[in-house]
Amino acid sequence: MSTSTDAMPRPARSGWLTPRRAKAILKRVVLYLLLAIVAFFFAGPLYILLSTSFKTMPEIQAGGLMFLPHEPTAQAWVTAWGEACIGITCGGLKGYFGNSMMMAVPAVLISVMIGAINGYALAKWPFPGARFVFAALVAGNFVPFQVVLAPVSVTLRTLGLFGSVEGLILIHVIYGIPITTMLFRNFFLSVPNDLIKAARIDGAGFFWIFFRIVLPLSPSVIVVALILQFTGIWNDFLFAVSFSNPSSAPMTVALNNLVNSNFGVKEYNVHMAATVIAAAPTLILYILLGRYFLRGMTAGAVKG
Amino acid sequence: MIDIRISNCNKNYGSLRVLKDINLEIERGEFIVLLGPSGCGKSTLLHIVAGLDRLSSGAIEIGGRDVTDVEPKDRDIAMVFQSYALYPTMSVRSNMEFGLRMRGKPMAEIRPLVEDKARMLHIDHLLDRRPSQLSGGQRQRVAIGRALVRDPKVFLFDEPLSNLDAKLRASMRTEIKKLHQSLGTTAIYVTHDQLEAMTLATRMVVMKAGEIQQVGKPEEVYHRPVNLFVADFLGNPGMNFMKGRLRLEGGRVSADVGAATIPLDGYAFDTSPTDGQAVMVGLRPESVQPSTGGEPFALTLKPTLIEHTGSDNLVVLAMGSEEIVGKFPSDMLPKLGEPVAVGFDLSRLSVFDAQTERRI
Ligand SMILES: Nc1ncnc2c1ncn2[C@@H]1O[C@H](COP(=O)(O)OP(=O)(O)OP(=O)(O)O)[C@@H](O)[C@H]1O
Ligand SMILES: [Mg+2]
Repeated sequence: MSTSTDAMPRPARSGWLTPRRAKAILKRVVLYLLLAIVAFFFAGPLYILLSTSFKTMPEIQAGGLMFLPHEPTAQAWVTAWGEACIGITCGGLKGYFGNSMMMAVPAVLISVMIGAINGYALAKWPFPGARFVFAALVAGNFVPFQVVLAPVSVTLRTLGLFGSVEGLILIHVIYGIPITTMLFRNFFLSVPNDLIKAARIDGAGFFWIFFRIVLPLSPSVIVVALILQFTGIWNDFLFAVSFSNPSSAPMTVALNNLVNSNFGVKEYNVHMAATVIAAAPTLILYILLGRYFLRGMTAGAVKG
Repeated sequence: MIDIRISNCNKNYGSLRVLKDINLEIERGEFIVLLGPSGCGKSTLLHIVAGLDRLSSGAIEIGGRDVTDVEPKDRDIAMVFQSYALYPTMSVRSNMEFGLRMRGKPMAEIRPLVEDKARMLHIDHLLDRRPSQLSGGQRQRVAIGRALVRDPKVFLFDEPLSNLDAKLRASMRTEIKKLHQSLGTTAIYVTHDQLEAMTLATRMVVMKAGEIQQVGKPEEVYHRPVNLFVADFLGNPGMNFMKGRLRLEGGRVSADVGAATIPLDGYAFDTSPTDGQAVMVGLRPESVQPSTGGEPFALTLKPTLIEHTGSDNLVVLAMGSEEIVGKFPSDMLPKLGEPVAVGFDLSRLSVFDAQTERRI
């Protein structure tokens, strides 16, 4: 930390521990202690998750949850990925991982794209009724998942999409549009109107202005939208468990079935490995794009 | 030939009437300056000519064609914004090319055009930079360059110089003037700045609260304002106003302003004066000068305050219970409290009816 220098005791001519310094040091100590507790709170489970996933079953049964593995082995990972029995099939998680990807990637891209265009229209092309549409979208953000389960179920059956990955994509796109629209609208409000006007005079239309002028200004908010949507859709359990069948089930459902299976010995190492695999995509996304994510959040806050 | 015709134009935002029945005809090649206090509707009028805002009623013609319902891009206009409105993610070159590319002009024709105009505006060495890497003056040039390459029928400027410092402003003003003289393109220019208005305009339009007050050549508007508002709005320091009553005696008209009686024999009345009519007599500070002895009308007045502006001294003179300001040459420094002889240039008088506030 760049501010840590002022806590560093520097030799002074007479008694460096003045009351003021003592107070500052105490403050630091308390701060670091709190941070350490919070870090432990989050990192602890991750540590146990990872270390257990590299242990053998006998070692786990011998206890010593907190220790590192004696003979690290990747066997649990191999099992979790390709061999573990989930429901009646024993092909591991890989099929479900594929399902999740097939669902999340299109759903994220489509909902972010539509949200961006909606937000742009709402922020920059005022039309009669725009306020009402916006109010409706805001309200849309607060509709609880549970409320729509039955209607969505009927709708998907009518469309013949029940139990398919496409059905999940559709519902995630629809559910994602209010939040992405709001996000983009609020960001686009800070894009100067004169830019749009100048482009209109230059001869650019709605979509030209969007793609050539507005979108290139918005990488940070695009990243925010991508991360929010991906995390939400990848981690969703309720829609997944309600509207999928065994062949289209995403990771969350598979993981639940694996971990809660009532047959045989509980293979904790496999469960832990499976959990890490299920969480990996969102983790990787944060690590890759986290910087932009933070920047996007604050940029919006300052400009808006 | 009429290039732009604005007929009975109204603009309302809900119940707020921003433009009230604007009528204006602009000849080809004119440089029209819209001047008026903040919020009087100058930008709105400009945006309506551009087609960026729709009118509530009325019609706009450009080049003999009714463009009331025509999109901005099809009006053959270019606009320079106060905020420059350069596309931030594009290079200067792309900024200048954008309008032509949108119109489907081949790149082979666009390149030389852009480079030519860039040279003309001394921004040819900046073509590969982003707007954020330019100074305010450079950005302004790019914004003007972007309008120039389009070679439009009409230029619209919305306070293009207001973000620049005084010095840069003056030099850009000169350049815009030169540009207009060489291109001869019709232009409408919005500004707050009187100096810009006076120097650039072939005709100026003074607005107040959505209404046109006066249209005319700068010197005409300056010397023969049609009402108190225009008289007061133009000039720095502002016009002196003396409250008084007209006196008609033996076919001669004069104005009794309390401390003095000002003869109005040479004044060209627009309406016939009546005896006892309450009036405001206006005279600009530069028409109040130290007496040389030859003026037909002079008074001896006491200076109460002196401001040095560098080029001249502004002398506040007590005149009865009122005060008037005279603009004295900088080498004429009267002493405070010591009466001086002051000559009035009565050929520059403006007389307004106190009730209607109109010139009489
Ligand atoms: N979109 C809008 N909705 C409601 N009122 C508006 C809108 N745009 C402008 N106005 C109002 O119209 C009036 C004229 O605005 P306009 O921008 O034309 O003024 P202006 O003369 O250009 O002022 P300035 O010199 O400050 O730029 C103002 O009172 C303004 O508040
Ligand atoms: Mg304005």
